Amino acid sequence: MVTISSVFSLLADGHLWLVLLASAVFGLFMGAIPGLTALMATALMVPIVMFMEPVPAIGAIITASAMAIFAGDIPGALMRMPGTPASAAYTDDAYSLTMAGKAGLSLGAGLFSSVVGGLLSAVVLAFAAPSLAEVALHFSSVEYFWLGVLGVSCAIVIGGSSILKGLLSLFLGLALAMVGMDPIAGMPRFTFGVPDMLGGLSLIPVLIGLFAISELLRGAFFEVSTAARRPAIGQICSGMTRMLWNHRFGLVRGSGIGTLIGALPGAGADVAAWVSYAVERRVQKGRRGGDKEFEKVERIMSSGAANNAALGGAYIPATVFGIPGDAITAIVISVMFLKGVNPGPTIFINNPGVIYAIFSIFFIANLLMIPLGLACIRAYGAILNVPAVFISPVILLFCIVGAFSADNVMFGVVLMLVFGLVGYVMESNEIPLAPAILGLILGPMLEQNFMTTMMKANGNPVAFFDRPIGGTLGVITLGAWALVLLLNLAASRSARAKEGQEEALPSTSPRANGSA
Amino acid sequence: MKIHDSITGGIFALFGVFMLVYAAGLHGARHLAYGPGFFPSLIGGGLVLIGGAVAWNGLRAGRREPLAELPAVSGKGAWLRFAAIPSAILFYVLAADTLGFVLAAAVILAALFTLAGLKLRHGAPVALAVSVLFTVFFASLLHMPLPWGPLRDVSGWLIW
Repeated sequence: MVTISSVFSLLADGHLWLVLLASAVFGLFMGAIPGLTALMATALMVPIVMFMEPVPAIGAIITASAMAIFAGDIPGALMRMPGTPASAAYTDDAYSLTMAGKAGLSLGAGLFSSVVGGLLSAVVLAFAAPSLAEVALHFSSVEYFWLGVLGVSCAIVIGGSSILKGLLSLFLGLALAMVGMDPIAGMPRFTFGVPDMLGGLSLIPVLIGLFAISELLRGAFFEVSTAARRPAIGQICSGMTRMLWNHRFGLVRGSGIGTLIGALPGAGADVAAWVSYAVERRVQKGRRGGDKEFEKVERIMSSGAANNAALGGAYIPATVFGIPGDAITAIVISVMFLKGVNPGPTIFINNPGVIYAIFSIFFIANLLMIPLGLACIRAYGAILNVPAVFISPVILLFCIVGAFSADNVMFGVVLMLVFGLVGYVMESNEIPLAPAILGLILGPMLEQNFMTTMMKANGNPVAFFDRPIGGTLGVITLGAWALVLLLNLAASRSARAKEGQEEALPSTSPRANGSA
Repeated sequence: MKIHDSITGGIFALFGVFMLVYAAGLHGARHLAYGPGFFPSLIGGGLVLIGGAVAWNGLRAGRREPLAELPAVSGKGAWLRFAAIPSAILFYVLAADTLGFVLAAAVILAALFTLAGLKLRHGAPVALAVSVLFTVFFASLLHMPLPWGPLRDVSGWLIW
């Protein structure tokens, strides 16, 4: 049983606070510059957190990603350029408030809703994760197999525009996961005589390649510039308490949606913000005679809360099952393995102090966001004065060091290069990246549990359905897929019926790929 | 770079065929009914089916689309800036062990700064300063075994 004092003793450490503060500043900087994302901030921190104790290491990632997601609001509100994809949903609303001379209101709404969303999701995380873990302790290979399948299914259905392309991405990830020794007999597969591949493809270089290098490649096509006209900001905090109270329902809706979507594998803060924005619009449509400014602030607050809540939600499946809820937790999981704090239900028994300290950091990080976020808004002009030409080369150097640091071999840098190009080509062909990452992470777990179940049952597939929880999960998964297939079939049939009458209109729904 | 779906799907399907062939050559221990090739062959089969479906959809729906489409670029030298990133990584992989991290990184940074429009006499000192900073932080303080190159003999003094 974990005692509060043991958690406090882990938290009462000057070094930890220094790390949190530094990563907060780093996260704010990364989020505030358009084109640099929370995910990239996380990837760049890998070589540094590699040398820390588990609590500061994970704490640094939590703090930096939360700050970056908030800071993405700042250029969105001031320059109509979302700093991270997670702020894109409400950039137009925030910018129009700025144009009306209310930049302070717009940024204040973004900041305080981020704090509320982050705190509420931390509460859900701290209560839901341990009780889920208690249930998960009774899971066997059948349940884990179905959980894995359910996880990758979520990533495909929520994550992309085309289910087929999502599946393509997933199977690519699963195929890559087969590299290395097989989990049952330890026989080398797909290694082509390269000793560096015997242990499988190292996750961190692949992640840095897919997400950071591909982003740099895409950015290379545009001339860099951070210079822009900056409007006056004005008062941020005044009247905020009343404002938060007036928008309490929107905030709670946003936080709930965010936590839930964050917890679903493969969908992260950007999807959460879009969904919450859409829900808010629908709610407002049902209301009569709304005040325009009130509605804008409500949409900003609700989706601003949702994108920060998604970060906390993503840690629920990550810590309890080792299934990442978004791309950031994919990195967190690999860092946890490297640090010897293996995610899974037993983490609450073996490392209770560490896991509760990690949960507490969610509260700390979101409270730190108030003073640091305010300072960041005020210092925004100075951030924009960093010459843009220096940014992407230095990021590239960080990526090289990060890919090398995972195993201290040059092969990691080669992997990063290959997957940078692969990621770039995939994204330009609308193949989402998140399912590939999930496939790569969950591949070994899926194979091991699948093979174990098959061997236990002498190859009888009924074994996948004859345990109560496992069977239910299996039926839910298969049922969900049947439903998706039926809906798709119906949609394509009605589209074909329409085709004769009119040209199909291009879809305007946002495409999301799980990157934040 | 947008490639026609029929080609993308085809490439994935071929990759699946390769997996099937490779997996068929994997033989596990004799008493195991499900050897190391079993799961890979399931995945290979999946890749063939899904890649085939994507290619089929591409052929049916996108007959008029071009086979490959280059991305929209802004400003001159965009392709050079694009090519510089993989080239820089490749250069690091090939040269870092001989040049050492400091020099290899400084060369890469200076080249990228120049490409981005900075004058070399401004960019070079910044590049050197940044790579020394990286070395101090990662190699000297965090003890990451970055390649030292010509500094190998004195590296003991540089690790604190």
